[in-house]
Amino acid sequence: MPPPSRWDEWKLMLGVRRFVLRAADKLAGSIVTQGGAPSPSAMYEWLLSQPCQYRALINIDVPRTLSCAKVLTDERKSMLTNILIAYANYDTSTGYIQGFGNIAVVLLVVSEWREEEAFWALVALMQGRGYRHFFKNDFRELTRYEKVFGYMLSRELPELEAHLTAVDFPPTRSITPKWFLSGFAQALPLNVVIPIWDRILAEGMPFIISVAMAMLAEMTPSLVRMDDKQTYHAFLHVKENSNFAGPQAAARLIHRAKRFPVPMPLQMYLLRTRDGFESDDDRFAHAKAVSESIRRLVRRHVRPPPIPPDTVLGQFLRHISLREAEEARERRRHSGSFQQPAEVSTPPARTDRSVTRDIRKNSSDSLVLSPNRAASVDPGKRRFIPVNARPPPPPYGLRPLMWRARAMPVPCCYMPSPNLQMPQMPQSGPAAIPLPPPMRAIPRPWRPPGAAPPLPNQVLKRDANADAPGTARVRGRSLSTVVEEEHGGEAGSSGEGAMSETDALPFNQNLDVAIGQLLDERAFLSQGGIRPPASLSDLMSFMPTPAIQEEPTHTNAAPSLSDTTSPDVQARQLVPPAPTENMINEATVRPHDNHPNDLPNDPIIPAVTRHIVGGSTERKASVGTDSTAVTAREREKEKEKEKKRRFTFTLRLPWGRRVGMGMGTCAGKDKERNGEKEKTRKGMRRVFSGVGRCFGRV
Amino acid sequence: MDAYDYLFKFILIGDSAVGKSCILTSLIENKFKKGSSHTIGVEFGSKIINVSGKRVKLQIWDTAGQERYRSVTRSYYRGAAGALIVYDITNRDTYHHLINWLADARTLARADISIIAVGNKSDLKDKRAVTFLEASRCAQENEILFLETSALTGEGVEEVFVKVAKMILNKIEDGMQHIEEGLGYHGLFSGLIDPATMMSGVHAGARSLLNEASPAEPASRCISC
Repeated sequence: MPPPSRWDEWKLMLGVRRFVLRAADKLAGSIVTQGGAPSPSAMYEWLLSQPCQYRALINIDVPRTLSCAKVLTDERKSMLTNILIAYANYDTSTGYIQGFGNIAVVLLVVSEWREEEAFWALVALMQGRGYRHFFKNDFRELTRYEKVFGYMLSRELPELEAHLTAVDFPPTRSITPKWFLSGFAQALPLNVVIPIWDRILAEGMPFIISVAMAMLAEMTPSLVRMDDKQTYHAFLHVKENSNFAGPQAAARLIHRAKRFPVPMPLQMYLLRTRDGFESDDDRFAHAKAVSESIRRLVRRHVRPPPIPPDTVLGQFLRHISLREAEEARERRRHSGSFQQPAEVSTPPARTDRSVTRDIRKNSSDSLVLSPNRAASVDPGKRRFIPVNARPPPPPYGLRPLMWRARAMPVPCCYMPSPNLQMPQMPQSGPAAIPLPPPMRAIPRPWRPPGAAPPLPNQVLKRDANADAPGTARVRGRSLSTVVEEEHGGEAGSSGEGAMSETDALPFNQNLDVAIGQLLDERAFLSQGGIRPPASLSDLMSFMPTPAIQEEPTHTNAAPSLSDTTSPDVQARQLVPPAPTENMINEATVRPHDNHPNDLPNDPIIPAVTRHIVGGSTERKASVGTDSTAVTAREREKEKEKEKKRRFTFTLRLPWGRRVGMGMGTCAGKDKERNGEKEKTRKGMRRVFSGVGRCFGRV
Repeated sequence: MDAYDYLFKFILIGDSAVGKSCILTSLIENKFKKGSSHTIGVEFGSKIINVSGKRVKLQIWDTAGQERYRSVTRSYYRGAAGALIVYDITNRDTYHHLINWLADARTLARADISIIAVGNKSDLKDKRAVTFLEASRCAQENEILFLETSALTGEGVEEVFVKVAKMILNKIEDGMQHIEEGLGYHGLFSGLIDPATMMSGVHAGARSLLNEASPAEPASRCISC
């Protein structure tokens, strides 16, 4: 907001006009006019002329309103006095309370000392924004803000809170009155207060808590090293704190304040949403509990916990990122010169359309592509992904695996098993680790140059042919074979060549299992329409998978749904992959009549994606062929039975939000359990509504 | 952090603009702060003083003088061991309100709170409206201490706090004697000291008693005896 228009903006944000009109209504009886509503200036004059019981106190307080000491001449002092007296006369239930002067000075300064306008803005701020409630009713509003502030403090800056408690400095009680009631005018220089009030007016009053948190966060590093006297001194002279002076201070504080947002439930608590709570404490406890639980959920489901760098997985991720960095560097280096090896600019697989198109476009160019263009046809960025059609396919190579690994909170792989010997990584920083060569150049797992790698898990070392007893097996295959399969034929078939057992990365047994799960997951996804890299060259050469263009499974499965769902629901529908035996077996059906919320609780890769099992076409067809043999009556019966076996279910995210619903048929067998006949609910299901792209990570 | 034997909570009350904040600033920073602002709500200061060989940490709550802030101020009376009622010797009204403040403190604070009346601005002798004599007589009638100070010159400021602290210490020692004489602590400490907030560790016997009364608080924070 440029300075000249700031006052206009403030007036707009405060809605001053509305309060002038309201005042005209209120004072219409007392002010004699020649018809029509009294003008704002007439009202102001009238208010000033009334006797005021607070006049003496205001006269005492105005000269010692600290925030205006520098800007205040005698004339301006009288302006401030006038505003305060007029307000006390206008809002008689509030009157004048020490502290009003500070915010009035801020308004006067912003209005460039237009007394009357500043007065109406003060009215709007006090009444419209509820600022007077901070002072009224035994400061009840302030107490509420204090509670939230205390909660935020213990939540966001626990070390500061501990320090303040240790030096007997009660954090909330000694800070909030001074900072909040003066609108920071007693805590910050005026040129910082004004931009901050810009934000407070825009964001709402709870933002003052964020600002206070930002100030404390700024002070924390110095505060925690102070003793009690210095701490007290720091808070007393917070206005002289050099952190809060200077042209950048306001911007920095606001930026910081945005990192301490007041949780929505607590904002609602502060803004006094009407509810059925008996006492304010109850309301606060409730708001706190809600925000806590949201926080827990968010932490659990949205943000995967960081992987500690000293675990095997962490080190592996680090290797990957280092390798990628090196590769990027390599690419940059090559893009600097036009002379480059052909295999770098045109990988063998890149004989597809995108390249030929490029060549055609610039037919004057030689066949050697310019490196910049070669980089620009990076297929990962070029793919067309229809919105809502499917979750975005993972990119290629080991990276997606690692993304998934990062996203999957598998606790066992965070904890190295006791019999695992961790590789001793040099602690001196990234440079100490030998950088892996670029991915493209070496089509096999990287091995440090020179001598044999410091293989950590000699325990796990084994022959490629004969598995030692007790080594990990992932669903019948040892990890190494899985990896080999993943990486395609050439590496595997060449035997001793690329992917020998000793080259495998140091996985321990737990990790084996985890990776196995991931691979399963990946296999599943790949059957769901995402083509896995078929061979190693495919994997490494950034070949775009034509999966999307060539994926008509959608149309196969859709017809059976068209009668039950509206077209726009269908448009949002996820692509049902071709049904496979594997998927049906893996899926667990939980019809909502039994367990409405009890979906498989995989938090990151939500249960929902797994439930997208489509294509009841097979089944229907089989029913059809059967029914040719039986009579019409039997067919009727069959239909009746079929109807009975049908059930619906709802897909919910773990916190209960409904994201989809579906229908399925029980194809399970009758089972005796506890003497009761029970139908296992295993079968085909189909999702006919839901949200699309948000499934990638919820 | 400095070690101390006792922690006393004080509260500064009195009419608006009598110089409460200035007394506090003068005590803590040994200087007069010109152009200081009116207090909003409460302010807070602390200082360690030596009283009869003991290190006493004072935790002082400086309150706002305006009538409207009375409701906020009231919540600070409860834990206070000492109260300083400040009036302005150049303003007779503030002296008259002394009685009101005293009543407030008597009703809201603990029964044995140590109170001192402080006539501030003693440097403005030519504008004096309240004589030393009548004020001290009034204090005597109400059984409170009395002193005159000048926050501007710093005269008498520390004495005020020392005097109150001494009085509280005396009460504590009386309590000790009672215990040693076998009269028990019943009703004694409960009125005199809030062990959870004000002190910990007096004597071995007393400490155990105190800790029984409220085991929560920080014996470790203070060193004693």
